[in-house]
Amino acid sequence: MLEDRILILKFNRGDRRVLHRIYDKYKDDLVTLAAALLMDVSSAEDVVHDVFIAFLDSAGRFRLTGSLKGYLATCVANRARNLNKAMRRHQGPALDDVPDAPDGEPLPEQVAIFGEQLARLSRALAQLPDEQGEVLLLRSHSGMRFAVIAKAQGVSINTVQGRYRYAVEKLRSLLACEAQV
Amino acid sequence: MKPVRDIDNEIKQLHLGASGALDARVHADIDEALAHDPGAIRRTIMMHPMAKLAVAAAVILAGLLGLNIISGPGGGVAWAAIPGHIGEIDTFMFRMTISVGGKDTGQWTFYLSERYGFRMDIGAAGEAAASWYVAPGSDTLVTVIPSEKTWTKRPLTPEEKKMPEEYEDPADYINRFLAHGYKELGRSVIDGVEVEGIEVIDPPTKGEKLQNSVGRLWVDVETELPIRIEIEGTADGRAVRWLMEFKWGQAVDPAAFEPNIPSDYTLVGQ
Repeated sequence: MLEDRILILKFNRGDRRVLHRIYDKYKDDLVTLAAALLMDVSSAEDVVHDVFIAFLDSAGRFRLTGSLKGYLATCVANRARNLNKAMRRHQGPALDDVPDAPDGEPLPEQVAIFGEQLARLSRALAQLPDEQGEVLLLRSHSGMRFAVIAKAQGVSINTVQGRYRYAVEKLRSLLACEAQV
Repeated sequence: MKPVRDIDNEIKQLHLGASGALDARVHADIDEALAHDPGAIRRTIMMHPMAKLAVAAAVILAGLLGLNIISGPGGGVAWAAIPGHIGEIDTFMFRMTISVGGKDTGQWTFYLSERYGFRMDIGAAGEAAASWYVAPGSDTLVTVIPSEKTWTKRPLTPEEKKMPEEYEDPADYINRFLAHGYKELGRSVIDGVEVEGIEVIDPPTKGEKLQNSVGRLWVDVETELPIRIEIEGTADGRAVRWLMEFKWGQAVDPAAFEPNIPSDYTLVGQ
């Protein structure tokens, strides 16, 4: 998007006012991504807030290249991953070990977050390993290229493509099972 | 089982809106940071709906950021360095001249500067029929009409002050520009400046589609900044030429951003 290029140009020159526009433009996508990774709206909003505070502090100190949305999505995914790990360490069961709801129904919090229509999908997403769910969301929801995800995650593009492939297969399997229930 | 495409589509449909509380927190933090950065107030680019063609200029400006996708044409220009050069520039001039059948039919000149503001001239053959000015940090639009010896001054509307939404993806523009391949034109001289160029067949254009069109991009060998884009073709059997010329940074006279209204002009609106 040209607007993104102009926003990046201005941001790289230290104009922090563009953060208002950047936030308004991508807030919903980022909160959605964080919520899908964390399955908790409050934590998701905290993550997005933290990402923008860090972004704000970095204005004029580094040059942003490439996709603005991709950069922000990567930041959100990194913080969500760290938060998930911390929660597992300190608060018991992992998010991808959520107990089954009766008859394969989505859990109430999943319905509350994304609504009935997409709750089954979010439930299936929650059952994926973190790294697979992250790749799938960054690719399919945030529209990032495999090469960019690989660079952000510090792994090879083959690894990222593998994670995506496994994630899609598992998701298809999970959703097919639920459809048969 | 669902096809992969369906899974992708379903994931795209996931949507959650940020709460008002989060909006307030983030905007308040940005405002607080800005309060400690007075220099940011000076750094303003006024974007005005009348400047739609200026947006086209910006499309090209920002689109050139994508030029590093081009492998070097083999000349002296380091094409991959162009984004860095443009990134350092806060002032530029863009002039677009349209000729049909060998006759100039219109000319639009835009001056855009984070430091000096915005100006747009509309006219033909080097004569401005009307000029619009917005000073940096100002909410006032000044319009000067030389043929009537009049000028007006009024506040910008909130809508006029917004960043236009109808931006085109600059990467898409460059990709489309190069979609049919390009050939190296080597070096030439334009207005005394040594340049190096590339040529593409059927370049992307906005609005009217030209037949048998050719586009040429010329870059200053010394500064490695684009100075001209020419698009030539035919429409309704007549030769059409779009000439886009650029000036960058110090090559743009800051005085161009000042209205400098002659004393015998009449203020007709305020």
